Amino acid sequence: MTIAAQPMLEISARSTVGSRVVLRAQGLRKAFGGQRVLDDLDLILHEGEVVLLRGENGSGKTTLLNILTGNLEPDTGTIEYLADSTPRSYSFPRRWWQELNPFDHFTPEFVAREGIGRTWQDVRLFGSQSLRDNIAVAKPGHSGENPLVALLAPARANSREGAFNSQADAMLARLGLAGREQSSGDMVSLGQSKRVAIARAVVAGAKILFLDEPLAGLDRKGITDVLTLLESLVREAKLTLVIVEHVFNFVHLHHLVNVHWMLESGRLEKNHAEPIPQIDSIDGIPVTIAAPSWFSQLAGSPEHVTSERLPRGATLTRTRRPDHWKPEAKPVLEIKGLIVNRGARSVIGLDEHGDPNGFDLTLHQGEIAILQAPNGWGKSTLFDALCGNAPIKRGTIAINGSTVESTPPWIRAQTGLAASPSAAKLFPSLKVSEVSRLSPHSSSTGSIPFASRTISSLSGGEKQRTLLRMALPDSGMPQLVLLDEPFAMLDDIATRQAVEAIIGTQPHHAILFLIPANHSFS
Amino acid sequence: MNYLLHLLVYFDIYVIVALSLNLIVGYCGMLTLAHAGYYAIGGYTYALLALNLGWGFVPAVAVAMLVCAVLSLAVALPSWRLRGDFFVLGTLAVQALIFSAIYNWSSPDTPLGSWKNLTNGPFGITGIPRPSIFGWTPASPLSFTLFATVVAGSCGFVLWRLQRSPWGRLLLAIRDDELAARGLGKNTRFIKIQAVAIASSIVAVAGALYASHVRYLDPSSASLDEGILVLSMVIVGGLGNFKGPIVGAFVLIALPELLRFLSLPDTQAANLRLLIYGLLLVLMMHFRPNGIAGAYRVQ
Ligand SMILES: Nc1ncnc2c1ncn2[C@@H]1O[C@H](COP(=O)(O)OP(=O)(O)OP(=O)(O)O)[C@@H](O)[C@H]1O
Ligand SMILES: [Mg+2]
Repeated sequence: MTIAAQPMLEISARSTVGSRVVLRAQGLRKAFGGQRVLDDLDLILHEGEVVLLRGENGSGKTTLLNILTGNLEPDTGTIEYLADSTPRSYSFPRRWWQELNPFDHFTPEFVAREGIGRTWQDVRLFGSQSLRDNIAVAKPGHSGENPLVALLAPARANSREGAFNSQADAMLARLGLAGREQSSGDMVSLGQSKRVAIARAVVAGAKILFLDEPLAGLDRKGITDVLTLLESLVREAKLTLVIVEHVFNFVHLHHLVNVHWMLESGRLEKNHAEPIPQIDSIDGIPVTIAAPSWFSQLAGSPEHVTSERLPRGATLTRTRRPDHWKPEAKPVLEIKGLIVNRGARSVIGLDEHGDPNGFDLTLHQGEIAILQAPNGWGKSTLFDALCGNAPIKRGTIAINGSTVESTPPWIRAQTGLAASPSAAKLFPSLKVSEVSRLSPHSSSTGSIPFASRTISSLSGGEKQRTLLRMALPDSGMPQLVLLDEPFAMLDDIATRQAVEAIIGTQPHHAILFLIPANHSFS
Repeated sequence: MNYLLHLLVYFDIYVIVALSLNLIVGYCGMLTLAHAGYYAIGGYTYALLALNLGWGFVPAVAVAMLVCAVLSLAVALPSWRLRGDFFVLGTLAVQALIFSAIYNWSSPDTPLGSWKNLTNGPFGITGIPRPSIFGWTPASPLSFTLFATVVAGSCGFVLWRLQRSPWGRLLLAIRDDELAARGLGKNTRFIKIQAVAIASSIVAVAGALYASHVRYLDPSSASLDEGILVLSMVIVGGLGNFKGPIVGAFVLIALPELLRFLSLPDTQAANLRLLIYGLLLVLMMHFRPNGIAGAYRVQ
């Protein structure tokens, strides 16, 4: 097949985009046990393109990324990597004797050497190493990585090492991380680690970079920082990007993207025409408060909405369901003077100057609250403290009137806490049906979607939906429903369904959302 | 005095074992039970070459290292596919294989070291000669101790330099996140083979040192108990840095010796010591999950 035979995938006419083809895939098919995810998919990528890959939850975006980066073999098809001077092509299914040739494997490391890089949604920095090492280790062709050289000619390895380290430091300075060279990979904020992960892939020689949800979970500053980095890479290094991102973040990518791919029923549709959905018009109601658009859907009418500023850049927005709001009854959640430490440092309960003065929050029946806070504010710490997974230093937490700060997590669940942690914490090897039986609230006998699948085989959005379904209590006493970034990986339909599901719960529950303070402001 | 020197030699030997094991467990994140097997293979190779062919220490150890490096593929290759508990089980199989090969490779009426009677089975090898280093033989306890310390020091130096090199850093990166390292174009499989081969050939030196010190070798040095003992050393001491295994080797050698001074009833002494070991390990894991001086915790 020639390029001309695929007019649908012709590139858009932006001056920065060259015409050199850097990646071509044809006839890709992938099925998981009968479910066809990719169905005869063709794609072409030209140098300098910035592609936004969209698609509903479960449409196969991650699967496509995994295939193109060598992490997963397609059932059939061909892939040609043409980004660097030594093109290489693979056709599938591969013959068994090809596996015997040690120089011809279809694995992440071989594909990476063709100039393909990727970042993961869960970042995956080398946690025990400094940021400098995280970047320096990526450099290809380091003679010091040969143990004989390292042992017998340390001088040679060291001079190389010195050069690489100063390059890594320069790179960190460009990322705005000067002075953080020695911070270890698991000690930096999400936004910082995402930038380091991108830089690491570039240092490893990526000419085409696949980014799986690079903006997810970031606050406004994190998003700006990552976008600035991506822009400069496209402009200066002529990098080709393929970005998977969800609806909330489309707005930010607007200026960068010049090609749109839509993954639908296993194929790529290319549609320039369709405008990027604007975040503040999901449900047609203009959003006037400093809250994500789905909030207006939750709130119903804006009269009952109040917003208050919390120290260090956080906002607490509340709304209530008028008929069920019972300020006179015992509050569902009452936090007083809470201080929580992580290590030696206090995280929760700080005032504007960083002095501990305690965190207060009261939620009544029928109340919905959204805590928006920047990365590093301590949302996860607060979540852990409420669930009983992080020890608290001072203060009290009461759920439905009984103090719980010294009770273990399972007792808190019985007292009326329904918490939905981030999707990464689901038991990966259990089946969905098994996990749903573990959930204390699953009295629902109806059919469970994906019941016989293991958690690890679900797509990001499917996992998130499963999680939410299990966290929402369907009846019984008033509960505190605690949701940690419940819509992070959902597309707009799924988000709307999730909001409906949340509204559909017993209205006397109190619901607390924890989300990054970001982009969703309007 | 001789008793102390003897302990010092033991310490030297186990420092080599623990440091090399740390390269596999602490730096690659691969929990292996087979390391004592390679220790024994090193000892037997040295013993046979020195006893039957009259080889000196250096060439015999060189061959022992080579043998162990090649045989280490039995640990490195399964790590490509097996993870976690399955990998541990795989190394348990390798350990059992090595032990039973040493235990059974004998035949009563053929001479020791022949193809039919390579190891003399359960009876072990006696009369292993003292090491001869280009004609010099450390005959006195003091000179042997010095010799063992120099050998341990050089092994330690090699490992120290490797661990601090870019190669060591790459190992840590692979341990932290193998898939991310592969995504950067690193041939992680090959590097794991290198690390396991280096660790196994260095533990062969410890085996040879042991054989030439005790001058007797039997299959128990390849036993599971031995494997667990050396694993305890690195875990108690701490994984993933240089001093942890040294501390662990010291503690686990010094402790039973100190327990000797408690006048335990003879009949139960051995069992009591085991009990105290066990207790120590449990307490250890509870209060210092990273080991006494460690930087990394096995999952
Ligand atoms: N290992 C697997 N076994 C079975 N089914 C799988 C497996 N991996 C993915 N799938 C299924 O393939 C489909 C595509 O999954 P994929 O992760 O590519 O979706 P996605 O487009 O990335 O979705 P999301 O937006 O939710 O992340 C999903 O329906 C998913 O359930
Ligand atoms: Mg996905």
